[in-house]
Amino acid sequence: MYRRTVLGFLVTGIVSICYLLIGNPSSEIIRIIRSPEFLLTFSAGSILAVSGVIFQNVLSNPLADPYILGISAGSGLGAVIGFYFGKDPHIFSLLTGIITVFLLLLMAKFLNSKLKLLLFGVGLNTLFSSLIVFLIAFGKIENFPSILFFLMGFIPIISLKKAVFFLFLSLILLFILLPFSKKVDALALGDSFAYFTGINPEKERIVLIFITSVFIAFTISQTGIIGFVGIVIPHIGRFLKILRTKKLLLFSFFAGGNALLIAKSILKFGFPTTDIPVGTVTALIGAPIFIGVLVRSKRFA
Amino acid sequence: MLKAKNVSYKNILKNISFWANRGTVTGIIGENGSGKTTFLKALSGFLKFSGRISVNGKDIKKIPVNLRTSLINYLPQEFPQTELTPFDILNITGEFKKIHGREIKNIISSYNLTQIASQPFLSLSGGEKVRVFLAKIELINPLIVLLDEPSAFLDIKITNILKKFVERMKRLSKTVIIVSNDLNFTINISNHIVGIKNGSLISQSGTDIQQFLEKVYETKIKLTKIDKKYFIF
Repeated sequence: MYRRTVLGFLVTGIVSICYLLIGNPSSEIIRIIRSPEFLLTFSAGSILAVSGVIFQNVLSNPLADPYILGISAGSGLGAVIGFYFGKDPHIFSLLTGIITVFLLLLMAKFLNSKLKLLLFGVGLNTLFSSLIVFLIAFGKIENFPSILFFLMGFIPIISLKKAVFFLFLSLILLFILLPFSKKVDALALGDSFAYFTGINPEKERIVLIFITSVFIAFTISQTGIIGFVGIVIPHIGRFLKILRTKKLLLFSFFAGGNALLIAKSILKFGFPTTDIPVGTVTALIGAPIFIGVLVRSKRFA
Repeated sequence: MLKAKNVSYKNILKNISFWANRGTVTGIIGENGSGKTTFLKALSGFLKFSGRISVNGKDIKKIPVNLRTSLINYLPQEFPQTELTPFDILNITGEFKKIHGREIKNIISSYNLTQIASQPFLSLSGGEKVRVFLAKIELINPLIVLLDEPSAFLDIKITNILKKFVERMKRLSKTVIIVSNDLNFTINISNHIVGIKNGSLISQSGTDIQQFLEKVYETKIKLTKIDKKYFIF
């Protein structure tokens, strides 16, 4: 455990130094552009991956992530509403993201079934996605590129202060979730198992989904919908035989952050003149890895 | 003592009243879909039933969930599909009850799980899975043990382990309740038998065992008694 954490820091250190120093930029650029970019990218990646672990284990479903539960589309809808009325899309996105979370929790209480909740999320996702397309069609055409970027996920240039805030956010999420690890382990084994080890499965599930979703809503409100990190990273961890939640959370924290950093680096340094949303790269690299892991995994056979 | 009064659940269980004493084994039999498993889950407090279930006089609904496990535990019919190992599963159980690693190791060796302790749970055979979960129950050491179709699909060797487990629980003054359609197993190991039919309880009182079984299952049953044990054909 201790060794893995050190390894995580080491890898992050190397990746971050590369990110900050490639191409020998001036100290000005490192300070104003690269540092905030690096911090936000790492934080977003780790929050997404860590939340994937929680969603998948708590719902005992390998497909669960913020995207399939509709939280991403909910946040996306807010952003598009913001663009449509010429208001700050970030605030609107955060708002609708959190409303979606409450909607999910309300239904969790009402539906009383993990699978139904997940399918409810699928329904929400479809509903919000179509509303998004509807609004785009009626909106101003000059907003279209920004909206596309938001829906595919990107790393905006923000102030160093704000970037540090996001790093704190990711650390806070990790440290809130780590003490829950045992409960999440038990929940992953099914509600009956959890109940007979002394946990109220419904209550704990709602608490955990609420905590993680709020952090996700904050992240998406800044970076838009970065797909695939939340679902791929935990599965890579499980493929590497990291099965207990505590270890998987730590792995996902570092691996998620670094994976998104690497995706961002590929874009930034590989295609410096083209503007591509980072979410495209995570999907482009993530999907084949995901399929590969799936094919070689014996878990769902 | 476990006592249920007027327990109903949706339209599956209808006003069931029932009790079981310490140091006894009660068998619950009934057709498939009659509500046996649902009743067992209600008894554990896992389902939101109406009516009252009490353990030693305390209403189970008023006992916090984290304390209920030490009172009642359960052998499920279906096991989780997990890559975690038996060692992990027993460890997760132990961590909540503050049970030490040595105790877990002792349980692992007494249930002959050493060989399979670090294999993925989903790769184990049905009998091995039952052994892991019996070990889990023994680790928690509850007052009341509920077994849901424990002997289904088990070979004779695992059935014997199961019998020994039930006998030991009885000696330790636990209340054991078995839901099963394996009549040969259930009738011979139980002190009392009750039936569930369409969500209602049928007691054996006044009838002999053969009449009782025929009433519960609505079919002709051939029963032979050899050496104080019943055999059913």
